[in-house]
Amino acid sequence: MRGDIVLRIADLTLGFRRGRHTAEVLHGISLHVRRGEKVALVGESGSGKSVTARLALGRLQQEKGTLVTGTIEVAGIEATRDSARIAAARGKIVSMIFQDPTSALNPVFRIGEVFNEVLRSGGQRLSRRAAREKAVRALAEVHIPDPERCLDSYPFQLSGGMNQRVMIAMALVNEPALLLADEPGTALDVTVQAQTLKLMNEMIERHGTAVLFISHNLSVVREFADRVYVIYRGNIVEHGRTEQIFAEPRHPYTRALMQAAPKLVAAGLPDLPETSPAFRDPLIVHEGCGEPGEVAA
Amino acid sequence: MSDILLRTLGLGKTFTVGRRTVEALKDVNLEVARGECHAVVGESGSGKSTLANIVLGIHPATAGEVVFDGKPLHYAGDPTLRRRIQLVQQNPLSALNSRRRVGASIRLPLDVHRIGTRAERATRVASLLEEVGLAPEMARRTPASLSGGQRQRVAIARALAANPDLIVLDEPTSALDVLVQARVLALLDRLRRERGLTYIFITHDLAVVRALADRISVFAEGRMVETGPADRIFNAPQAEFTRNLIGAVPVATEEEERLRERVRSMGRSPGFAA
Repeated sequence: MRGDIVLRIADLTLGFRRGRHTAEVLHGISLHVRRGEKVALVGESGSGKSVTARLALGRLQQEKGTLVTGTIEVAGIEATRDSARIAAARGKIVSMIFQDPTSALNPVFRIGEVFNEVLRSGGQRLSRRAAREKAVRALAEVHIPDPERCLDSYPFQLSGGMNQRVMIAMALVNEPALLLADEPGTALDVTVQAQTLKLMNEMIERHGTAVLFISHNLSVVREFADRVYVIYRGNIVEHGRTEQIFAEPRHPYTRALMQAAPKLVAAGLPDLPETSPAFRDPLIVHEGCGEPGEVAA
Repeated sequence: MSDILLRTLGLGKTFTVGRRTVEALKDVNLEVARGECHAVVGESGSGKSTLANIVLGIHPATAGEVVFDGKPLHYAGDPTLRRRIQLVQQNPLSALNSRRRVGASIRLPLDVHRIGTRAERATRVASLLEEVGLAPEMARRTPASLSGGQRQRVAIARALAANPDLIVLDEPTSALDVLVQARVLALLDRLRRERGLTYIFITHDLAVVRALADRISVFAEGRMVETGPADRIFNAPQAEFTRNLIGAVPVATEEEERLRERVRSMGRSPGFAA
């Protein structure tokens, strides 16, 4: 069953060295995502969730003072030490969508120009006409009403929701094995965010893409993910299938997050600490879950 | 003394961009009762922030008027009326002057409105810090050395300094982590009870105001599409826009899911009577 694992992270540690001081950011985390699976990594700011995604993209390894140990494998490519190979595969084997699509798109290029760049980085040698046709098809697939006009627009001429659709189309046009989604839609209105999640679901199912979905919002995760890892200050504290985690959150930190999430039904304000020693309790893994090769599930 | 602390009458605001005019607010009649938490909910472009800016005297209205405590509130008008309305913004890092120590930021409204002597102001800053759950020693810190939650507490203390009657909270917790958000919401709720404050709570997120709001006004495209008690808005929303808004909120529990499904199905059966 190891063949269908698209992202494998094992005992990953990350530290940033500044002079003699090293700040430890990840303390040995393990996680995996299989083909076609939607896995969420949930935590608050400073938990290490976004750096994990940046490591999987090969975007941190080369920076000065970055200390990485353990394993990151993206579609069979070892990315822990040799990030050149994974960097070359960016946009082709692994791609990413961001929180705020309008600021993630370069404002001085038209959507069409960025699309060409994305297709080129995917190693597709296409004539200008073929590239344009491909871009038009990709935009139509994410339900953009007038793809031709969209390609000739600058990002600031489109709404946030439209830019989000453009980002999703670009991220998937080269059929990557892994999609990293960092809080997609949280910068957008609730109704647009709901549409974004629905669209992502539809696209991922059609393409069989594996997704690592990074979020601070448990409610969004419940709507989207098959499996959930909860991360607190550089440690995974709970891992289970989405229905297990939400039916029976076991770790004190997960429970606190669950209680703190604002609810649509009247429940009063919870009395919760911002932090507690119990949040550092060891990892809890739900039945049937576990890292490959570690647990006979 | 009227029960209504703030009222807008036919309030309108038009912006002119080149040759184009944009109607940001159209004929808004809002009533905020003394001592209530009144949530103003809408998506981007709904006019909720424009409304806040007019109430705060940052922008003049182009139509209608604002009546505060029985007196008309004029743009750049009476400073003593202005003192009684304060603001807490979304991002405390940009709302606080990074060069100014926390104590000086909290003292600023006291200086501006000439409240108390120098010694009295220092004592007042210390007690305000304690009131929002921060140590008085924090007065010497800079905003950069504080956590997001601590910064928002400082911004709240600054809003309280001039002893306002009304605080406009503009997405006060949306930049915060969930656990921090829960604590700040609890603080705001406690302060309102203890000080008898009135809040206008501006947000795009209905779930955030569920536990706090007494009344909710929903805005869309510059108009107030629905207003009413919070329980009624959540359980029997009348406007289609409100139903769509509730229907789009991501939920963490089955109980919420049931409510959301019920609201979604209301939209599908027009014959539904609340």
